[in-house]
Amino acid sequence: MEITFLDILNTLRKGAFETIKILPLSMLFSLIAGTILGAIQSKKIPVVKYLINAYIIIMRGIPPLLLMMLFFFALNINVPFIAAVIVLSIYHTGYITEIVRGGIEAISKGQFEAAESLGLSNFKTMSKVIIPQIWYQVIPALGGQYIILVKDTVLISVIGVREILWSGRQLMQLTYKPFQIFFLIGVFFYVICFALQQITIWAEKSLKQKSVDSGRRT
Amino acid sequence: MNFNYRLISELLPMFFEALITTLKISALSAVFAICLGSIAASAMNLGNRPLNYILQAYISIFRNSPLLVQLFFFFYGLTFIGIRMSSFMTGVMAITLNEGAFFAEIIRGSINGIPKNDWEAAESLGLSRFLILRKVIFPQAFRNSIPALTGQISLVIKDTSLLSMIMLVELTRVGSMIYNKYFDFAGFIFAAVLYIVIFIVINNLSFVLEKKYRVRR
Repeated sequence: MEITFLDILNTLRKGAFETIKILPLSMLFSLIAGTILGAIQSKKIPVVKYLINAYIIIMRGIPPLLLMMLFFFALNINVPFIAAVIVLSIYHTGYITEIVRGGIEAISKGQFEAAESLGLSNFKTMSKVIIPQIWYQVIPALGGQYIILVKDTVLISVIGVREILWSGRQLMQLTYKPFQIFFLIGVFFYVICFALQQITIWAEKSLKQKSVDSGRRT
Repeated sequence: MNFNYRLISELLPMFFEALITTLKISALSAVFAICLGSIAASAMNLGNRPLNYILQAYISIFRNSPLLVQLFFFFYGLTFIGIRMSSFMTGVMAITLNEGAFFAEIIRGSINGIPKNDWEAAESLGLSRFLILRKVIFPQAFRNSIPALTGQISLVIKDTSLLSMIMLVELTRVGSMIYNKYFDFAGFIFAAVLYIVIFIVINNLSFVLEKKYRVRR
């Protein structure tokens, strides 16, 4: 049976949906975990500080591919999809923690003191006063990290998630048309990354408007 | 979960060889990529418009698509059109092209960060645009970008793990080979430890370099 260009597109489309399903989940989880860890890290609690630091160094040191295999085989998670989301989240949480911590440290001391003088608890200071202000600072770095996350999703084909590169490699074995297939996959990622870039720029602009309106020194 | 020390100590020579391979690929592709990035970034400042478009296209294409896809593209594509290359060479080439785009972006950023005065001062000495870039701007820009460059180099080392997908025996591949043979993930853990050690060494080296080569104004 001859495999036409249309068939290739159709197969890749199925894979692309799988990729797109994984993306928002791991983005969301890594953002939540990263924000929490970053907030804890900015408090500089004696022992916890070293633990989180070790976590960050480990995540920055291990290649995501190795981490993926380690998790999938060592922890024996039977559903590849869940393993993929967990690994992508854990890996990028390390980076986002650093980004958020940087953002929190860029907030002026006066904000912390003002919140304290109002009698807010530590948790409330963070969640109501500090965290809402960091986004303008954080957005460019966060956008860059998300682009890396998008590109890291191809690695989950290793543990058998049927995402776009996995479909591409299956097609490779059937048709042997490397240029068409990998070019199409490249275009798919290019579009997503380009869109993310534009969203980042747009978000930065609109947040800048906001932070100027609230009279914050930039 | 118990860690199999015996297995690791028996297979230590294999790990050593793989570590050397990983370091060799990282060093080669990092050097090539920094050269490529420097040339591309400098060329973007020569003021040649068609060249600029080409370089911008190169940077945005290679930055915005996954390295693994590029790797497969070259690995399968080159054999398809009849060029036979070892997976080592293909890997070095793919990583060089991919990371070259990142290095170009870093160095371009720091070239833009050099104050306009330096351009004007050099111009008033009658230097050509090419000479200004080579003798005045680039040396400063390169020194300024050392922290970002070393950060990117640690990413190059992580990228080499992808070469296990094209059958090159390096650290990650050794880990999965051990898993396939003995059904033991100790190999992964040991490989991970080695990667982390490399990362920590590079990280500390970057602090030393940064201090040594800081531009004083």
